[in-house]
Amino acid sequence: MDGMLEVLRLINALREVKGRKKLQKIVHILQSRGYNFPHYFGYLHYGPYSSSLAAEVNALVSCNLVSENGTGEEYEPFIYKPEETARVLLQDLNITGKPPWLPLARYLNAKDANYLEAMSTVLYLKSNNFTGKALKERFSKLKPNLKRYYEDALKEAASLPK
Amino acid sequence: MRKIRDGGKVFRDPVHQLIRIAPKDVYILDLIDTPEFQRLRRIRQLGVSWLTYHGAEHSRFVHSLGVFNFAQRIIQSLYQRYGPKEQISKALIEHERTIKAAALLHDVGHAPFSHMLERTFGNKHHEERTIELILDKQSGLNKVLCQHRLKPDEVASVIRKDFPLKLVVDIVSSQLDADRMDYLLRDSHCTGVGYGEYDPDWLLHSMCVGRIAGDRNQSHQKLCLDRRRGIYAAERFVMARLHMYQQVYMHRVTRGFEILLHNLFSAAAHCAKTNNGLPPGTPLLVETYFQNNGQINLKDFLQFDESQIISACHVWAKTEKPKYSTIRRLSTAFLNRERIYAAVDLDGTPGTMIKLLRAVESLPKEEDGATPIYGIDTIEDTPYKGMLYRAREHATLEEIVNESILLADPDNADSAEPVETNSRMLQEMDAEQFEVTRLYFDRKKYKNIAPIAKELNITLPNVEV
Repeated sequence: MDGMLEVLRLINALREVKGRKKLQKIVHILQSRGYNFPHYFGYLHYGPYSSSLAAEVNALVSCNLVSENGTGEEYEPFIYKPEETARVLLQDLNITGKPPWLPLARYLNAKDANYLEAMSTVLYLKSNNFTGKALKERFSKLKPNLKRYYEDALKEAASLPK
Repeated sequence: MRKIRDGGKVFRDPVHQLIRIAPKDVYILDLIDTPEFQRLRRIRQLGVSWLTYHGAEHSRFVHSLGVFNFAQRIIQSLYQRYGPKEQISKALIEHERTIKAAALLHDVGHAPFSHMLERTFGNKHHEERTIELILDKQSGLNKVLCQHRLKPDEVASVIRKDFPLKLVVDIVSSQLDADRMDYLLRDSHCTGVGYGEYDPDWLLHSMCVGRIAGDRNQSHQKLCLDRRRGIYAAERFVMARLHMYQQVYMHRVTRGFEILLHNLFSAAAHCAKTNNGLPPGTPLLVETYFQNNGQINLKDFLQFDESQIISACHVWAKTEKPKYSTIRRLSTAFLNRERIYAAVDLDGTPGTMIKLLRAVESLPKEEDGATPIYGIDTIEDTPYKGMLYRAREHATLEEIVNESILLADPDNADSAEPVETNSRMLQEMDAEQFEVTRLYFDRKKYKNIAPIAKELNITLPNVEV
């Protein structure tokens, strides 16, 4: 329940997140920086992915705390926005004030989802002890379509604030 | 290294009848003989389900052998379909030993009452522990893999699901994997709940390889079912999962004892970390584990099994000091299968749940300082998410690939689609009926809970104290 509340707080603070992939990667990157998102991320087809996070977002949508609107494009992206009920609930629960992760979350939210996928994958591989050449090789095998982001993602993953 | 006869080795198994280990797979016997794998004999597959279904005593050891067997049957089936010259068969042959080792070892990191301890301490997921055991150069598993010229990091990578070839990962872990194929049949057989049965032979016969239209990554070929043959087998497989979730995995009594154990572990951790300590006679390993917030080294992990926790419960149940009243009460209830909780299904919003949680948390502490006994149980692990997404018509490519069983046309392998788009039966089902949230509360606390519930429009059951 704490995880779901933190996700609601994130969507409420960002006002708009474009795409489930972007939301997944933002939460993973924030978690890797030590912020308290208790979701378990495994590696799935498109990189670090949390089934429990996906389920929580669905529940928030089902309960009309968050809106989810398609753009009509095939598969992606859906736009998430907080409903007024989210603000009321957070206030009701006395969850106010600026969350510590907000500046980083805003910064990530302004980035392209594919770039976040690359950065999230780099962080995942690093947490599994891939370094140097081995890291680059594994990234290239897993993400041949994102090679162009690798160097920037690597540099930025190392310098993100904790 | 073990010797193996020319005819190989055969294990009798209640689900597979015979599990054959070919002479070329002698490394499997050596892996089975390691202390890390033998330990799985002392970890039950279904946690505390034996308190509901008395037959559910099967271990992760027998399940792991079953997963190995299904993995080897999937490889055989694909090899037969594509023949020796196809690229798919060549890839399977190249990685066959790694796949089989990963299938066998995928569960070695489970702690006793695994999910409850993970929930209490929230520090290490069993998959992470599995990876550590395989990569640790001191572990028997690592030594055996190296002796047989297998690469531990490749086996770990398959289990971690970041192995570059998705087909290899899918055989061990996907919506259509050897793990699910075994646990459904085995759990069904051992609990006596017949709904978990499906047609494994036809499912295996229908397996093929395909790729989602629009996904151009060559390494993203997925394990699929032949569209012409596999749809009914897939429907049965999904239905088996849905019914087993409802009848076994989400069972009200079982989940209640899980909540009880979680509360027991939380109270024990509280004692271990304060001046109280745990009662004298508590097994040293258990005491260390609770003092260190669930951290444990490899050597100790090999001895850390369900017998240790049950021994601790016997000690805790006998202690008479008031400062241990909560762990005494919960241990006694666990050992004697006393249902000290009542449960009510909740259909409120997350807001209601959170308010409920906060209100219950603010109730007066127990006499020994422990948190009042309660729990909100949210079943997050939906039995088949593919159906849920499809029903909402909001599936992303990522979710389809991750969460759906795929059907593919063998003549046009780039056209894989989720089974739910082809199945009227699955389309008609309301996936949300499988989402369950329950409040468990101590029957003795009924008077405290009742006003909170009334304020939140929750109807409590009649409770006899």
